[in-house]
Amino acid sequence: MSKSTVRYILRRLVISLITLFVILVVLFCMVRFLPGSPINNEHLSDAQRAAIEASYGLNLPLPQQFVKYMSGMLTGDFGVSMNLYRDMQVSSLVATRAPISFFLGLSACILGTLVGILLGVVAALKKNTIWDTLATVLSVIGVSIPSFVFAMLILMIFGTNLHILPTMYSSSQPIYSAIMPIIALSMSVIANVARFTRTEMISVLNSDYIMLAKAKGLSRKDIILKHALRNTLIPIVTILGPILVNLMTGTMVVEKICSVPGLGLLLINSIQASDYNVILACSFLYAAMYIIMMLVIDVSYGIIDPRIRLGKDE
Amino acid sequence: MEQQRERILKIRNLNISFKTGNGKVNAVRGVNLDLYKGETIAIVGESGSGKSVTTKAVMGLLANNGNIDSGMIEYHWNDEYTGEPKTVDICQLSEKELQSEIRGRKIAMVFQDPMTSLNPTMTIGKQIMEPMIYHYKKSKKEAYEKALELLELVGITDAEKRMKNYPHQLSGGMRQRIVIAIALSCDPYVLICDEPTTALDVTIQAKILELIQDIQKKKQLSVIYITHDLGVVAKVADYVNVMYAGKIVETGTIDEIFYDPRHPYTWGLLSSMPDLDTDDDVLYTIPGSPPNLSHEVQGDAFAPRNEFALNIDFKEEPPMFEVPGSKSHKVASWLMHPNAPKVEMPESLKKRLQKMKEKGDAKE
Repeated sequence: MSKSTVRYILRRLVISLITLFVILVVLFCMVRFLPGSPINNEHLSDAQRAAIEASYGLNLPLPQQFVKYMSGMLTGDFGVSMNLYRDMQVSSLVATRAPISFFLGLSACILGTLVGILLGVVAALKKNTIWDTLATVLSVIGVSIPSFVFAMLILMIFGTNLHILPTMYSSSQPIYSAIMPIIALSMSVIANVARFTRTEMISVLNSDYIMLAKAKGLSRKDIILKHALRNTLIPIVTILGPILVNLMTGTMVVEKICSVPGLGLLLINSIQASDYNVILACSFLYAAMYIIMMLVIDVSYGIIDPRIRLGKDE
Repeated sequence: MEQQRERILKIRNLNISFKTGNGKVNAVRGVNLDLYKGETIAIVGESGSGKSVTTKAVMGLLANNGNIDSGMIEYHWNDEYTGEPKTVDICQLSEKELQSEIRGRKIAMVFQDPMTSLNPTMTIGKQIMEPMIYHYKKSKKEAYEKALELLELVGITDAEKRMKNYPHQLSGGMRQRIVIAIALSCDPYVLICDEPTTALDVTIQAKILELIQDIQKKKQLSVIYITHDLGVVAKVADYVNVMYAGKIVETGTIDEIFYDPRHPYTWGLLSSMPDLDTDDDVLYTIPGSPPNLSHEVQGDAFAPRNEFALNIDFKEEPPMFEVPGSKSHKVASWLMHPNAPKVEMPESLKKRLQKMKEKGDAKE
């Protein structure tokens, strides 16, 4: 990695930190303005409620609360759950759930990208044949049907009717019970990537340098693997960013349907319960992940496409 | 001059058609062509005249909807080990044979646009070494050495540094040199240059042409130029083939075509060449446009645009007439028939050719 690349990454990291801070401020305010309160037990008297609020520091003015939250955060203390999991550390809550969500999202993304590229390449190479049509139909279906519908369909067919897969996530069989949500999540990735790969591959195959590769007398296999594929994949990286974000938002619903105890489910439940610190930590984690993803993708451009060298190259 | 010429390519009655949404297009209609060792031929014609298609067929690189309907493309060579003469009809070869025997190895091609004909994500070195490793199973080291040699041959300094460069780091002229180096990497016998200088700026054009000529002499290459630039033709070719609507309408040596053109289409082409010492205000253009080749062509395809057209031109296709007193000069025009009225080329063109000749003589 060249010096300029390192400098570029450092600059991006600084900008990312500033962005994250702004996001945190906005999130912090928005969460406080949500209707409802974490202390919502109807049996509590006003005095009791005020006492509990005071114990969590909710009676302080907003700026002061923020400073307190920030200073805690910098030492790794994300506060405690105020409602859902009474007084449990948010960091440990997130730490037990995040790996499950990451595993699901990443697997779905990898599976979806691989299958999508394969489908797209096949469609492009067999352009205007039955294989092409089949791949196109598959991807249209994948794009137009939301992941939660797939989740329910798979749940119904493989879970309820055929009893092949568990209908509920069980932590004793983490991989076995992850199959269903992963497949459901990957459908839209497959569809998007396949469609994109097909178009890209067709245009690459019509390019002059592929003609030159043919004129060199290379075999079809070499032309596709060594010359066409890499040039096809470059633009694919561009759409992987938005796809990853899609997966993150998709996980919430799919996690709910397949009852996966992941971050998405935690976020939904915490919003329903107005559990301030949990909402903040989860959404902050999503924002951070998004920003890091974008950085990783921008850096990886430079690695796969030599025309893009980050920063100023002498 | 008249030694034993060694024929490398012999194209006879080549017909190529394309299936398109608007029906079958007969892009090449009965082309005959010969290429001898060490010689240069040029195929001249406007866009869509079938010149590129003909050479793509020679390499077996026709688009998927293209088909060789009839004819043959014979390739002659001497076996590398035994030295015995061999002949193969490229039209009869399978895709596999074309790929492993012909393309790159015996016939190589230089494309029009060097900005797009190199793979943007692969280093120059890899792209030059690739065909050698593939065809001759050379080791990486051998291929690297040869690539360095080639880069020097095509006039690239700092070869070792350039090997690690990507195409976007080089200028257009340099890239075309690289493309030429790639074409030469497997020591082909025939080099097809498809408008090799069209995309380059004028100062580089001459250099690239000189480079190709230089290499041609060193390596005893036979070269086919495809171009619509008569300036290029005048500079490099030994023989010229003028193509119109998928047919060769006039063929001859460079002097015959430039100083004694016989076909009205060749007259038109020569007249429409931009020229500095002329009194005319307007640049001549051939009126009308080429025929639609998806329809059957009745008579001479050029007749509707030809001010000298005879009645028979609209009815029957002219055969190739030999120009009296020359073995090489042939013209497909009824004007060459002994019974045809005597038609002279336009006066302005005559003057122009005269001037060109004087200039050419003065140069030598």
